[in-house]
Amino acid sequence: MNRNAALASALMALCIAVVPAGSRTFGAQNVENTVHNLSATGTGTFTVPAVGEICVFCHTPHNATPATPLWNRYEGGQTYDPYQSTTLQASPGQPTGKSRLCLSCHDGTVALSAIRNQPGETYADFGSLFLSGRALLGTYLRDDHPVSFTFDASLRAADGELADPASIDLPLESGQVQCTSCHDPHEADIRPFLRKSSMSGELCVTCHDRGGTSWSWTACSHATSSATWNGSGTDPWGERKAEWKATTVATNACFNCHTPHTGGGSSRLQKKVEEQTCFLCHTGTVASKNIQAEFSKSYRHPVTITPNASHDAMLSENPTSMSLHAECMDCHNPHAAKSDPYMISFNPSNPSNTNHSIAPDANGRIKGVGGIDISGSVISEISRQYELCLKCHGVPGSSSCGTQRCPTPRSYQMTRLDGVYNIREKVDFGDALLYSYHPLAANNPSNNDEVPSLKTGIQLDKITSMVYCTDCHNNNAGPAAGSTGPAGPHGSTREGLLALRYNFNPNPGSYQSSDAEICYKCHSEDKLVNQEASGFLHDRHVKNREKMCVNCHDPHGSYAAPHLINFLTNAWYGGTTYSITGAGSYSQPTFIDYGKYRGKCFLRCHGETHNPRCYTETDSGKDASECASLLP
Amino acid sequence: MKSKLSVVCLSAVVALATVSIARAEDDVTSTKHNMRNLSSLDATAYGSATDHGEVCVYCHTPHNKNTSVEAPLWNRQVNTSGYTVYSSTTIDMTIDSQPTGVSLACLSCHDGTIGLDVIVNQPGDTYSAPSGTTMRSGNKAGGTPPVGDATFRPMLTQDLSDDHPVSVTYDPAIDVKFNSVASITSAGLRLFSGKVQCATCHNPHESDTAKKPFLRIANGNSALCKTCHIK
Repeated sequence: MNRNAALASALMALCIAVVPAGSRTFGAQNVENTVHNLSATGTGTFTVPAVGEICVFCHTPHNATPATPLWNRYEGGQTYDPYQSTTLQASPGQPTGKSRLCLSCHDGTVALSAIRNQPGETYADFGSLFLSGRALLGTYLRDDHPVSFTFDASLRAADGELADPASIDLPLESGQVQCTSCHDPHEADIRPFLRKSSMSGELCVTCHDRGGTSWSWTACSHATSSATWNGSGTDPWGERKAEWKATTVATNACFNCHTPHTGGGSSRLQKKVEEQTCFLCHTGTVASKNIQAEFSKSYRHPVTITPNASHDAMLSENPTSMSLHAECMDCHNPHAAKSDPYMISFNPSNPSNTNHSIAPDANGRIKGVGGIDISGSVISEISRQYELCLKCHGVPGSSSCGTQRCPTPRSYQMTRLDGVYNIREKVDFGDALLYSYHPLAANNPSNNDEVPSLKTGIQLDKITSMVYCTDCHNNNAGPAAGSTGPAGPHGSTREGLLALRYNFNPNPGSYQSSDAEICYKCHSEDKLVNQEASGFLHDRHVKNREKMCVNCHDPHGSYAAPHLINFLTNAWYGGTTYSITGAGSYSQPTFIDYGKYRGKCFLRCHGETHNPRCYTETDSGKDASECASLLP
Repeated sequence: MKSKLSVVCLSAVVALATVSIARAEDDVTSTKHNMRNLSSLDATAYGSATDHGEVCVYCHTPHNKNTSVEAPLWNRQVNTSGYTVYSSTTIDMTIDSQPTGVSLACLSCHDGTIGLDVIVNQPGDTYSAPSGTTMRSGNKAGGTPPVGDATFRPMLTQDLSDDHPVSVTYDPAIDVKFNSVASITSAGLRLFSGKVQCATCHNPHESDTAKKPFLRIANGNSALCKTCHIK
């Protein structure tokens, strides 16, 4: 009889499992076939063979504590360490409600076999088997998704990245998120005990609604990419159990970076600390380019300083008050970033190629991050690339990087005539005192009209052209250098994090074209130093006297003079001090502009006194005796 | 394809379940519901009830039954009020505000307010004063790790909020996580006027030791629970 009843029951369960009824909205409820079957018939790691019933491990028909849901287990009475995050607006306190019930096994302090009412009528010692392994959360819940917090309209308003709690199709318990909001402990099909599939982020996006005015999670490469792990190095999804591990970036979705339980001890449930999370894929093993390797180059953004206590999630950071730091997420929003063309104005090895963005547009690669606009105001979402760079390099009241120059392996100091080192001020076209600037934030036609050195046949030979910061500052082996390595200013072997070489030594003692390689990307070396195309003798200074561009020009902009002229008044380089001083009645080195191709210099440099020297379309380097007649 | 499979499955379930119904073992004398020898079985739980010399008489009488309860020839007084019934935010079916029907008969002992030996009609023609011993709380077991509850399970008290709901109108149509009426009755469970009562799961005369405590279906592998619950 028992046999038949059991058979009938088992068969019924089987039928239920294989015949899905149309009206059912949940997955397959068959706890017997799950690891929550701790009885003799269970097939999971943890079973108590002496117990022949399944439900009894959690439920009892009589004298239950708590009464709902007829609970049959003891609570551990533990004090838990709940989830915390600087970007968390919710207030998860000690676990409550059903979450405490789950923890009566999953905190590992109460034996699985410790049940209040045992089956049958006599007491048996079922031993003391405790949970261990991946399902063990312990009492440290800071690396687990928060539970036992109220999810209501006010939380949604405060957070700004959550769905409407009134319309989500996951259960809240008295308005609170609990373990059971995501998990159904009886669910057999959608593993592990989920109310919705975790594939493609389906479960997570029920509540988490990530997007901004110019971006959305659904368009993000992390939600759409079909890239797979190529099998070398570390499996980026190795912490996922084979039964519920997906194979592409798009299907792993949220789980590319996050894990809801027992993360790497890092904030925001990331799998690894800071950049290490990104390096799970961006090493050429999933993403095609190896970004991690870029950060071992001599000149780099310092993301590998870990842990970086200064860093906080990007949108909550105030660039004007934060301590300087750089993490991947300061420039990239992992919920927004998507594949887009390179942010370069042209490809130096293929100038006619138009597969690139147009400066200064911030494309999908850096969408959804905050910055500082050209006027110095903090903005939560950039629309122009330079606004991102200015987040650190253009903070009002600060020099670039907070000091005169960013710390680099090579130690040098350079003091310039105008004394301005804030890059935003250097390119702030709205400042009437700014004489000249590279066209990063705005083009200046009257200024560029006097740039006869521009190459022809490139996409930056027009006076209306603008450039990206990343036309100059970029990977030495990337597209800005005409090569195929990773794009972007992650790291470079070139000083100044430049794509091509620029000799920062004011007086190297010899001249090669490569000393100004980055300049010659747009400016013609031939016109400058060979053809004497302008009145000024670049050839005499640069080629013959081996004096580098850096002596006279300040590449971002100048408050001292047109033509980006901003003399180095003091330079300490390689143990030697160089200075350009005033001459005659000028205490500071001075260039006086007389219009196109025409000007006077009053200064002392390389042992030569210019008091003044005059330059015109046809007469170059005339000294004081002839100057008066040339430029009265 | 799907519907054919359903039919096959349903038929098989019905066939097997029908066989099981016919084989209940109703030797109440050998069970704890033989209250003549309760004190020798478990004095801690039951104390010493007056031995009336008969077995059935503790519950049933051939004449002048208690008509206030829907139970067969009932020979005990019952409480019809004073209970706290089960409630839950996730329950969809309707629970009567007080227990009804045959559950009241069970509760006349199991709520612990009426002596086990206090009956309406005593055997013979003389009256013997009952001891009035009610069901007691006791400790089934203890140990390390903590197992066993200080509350003896048959003692439910009038607080039924921690007990499986009874006097529930069973309606799987409003909760998809329950099996059909046909499937549960054919499996051996009983509904009373469409309601789940104590006697839905329990057969107070059941003597098959595999069905302890007084279950209609042996609960190995939680078969009894899963007869109704799709879990």
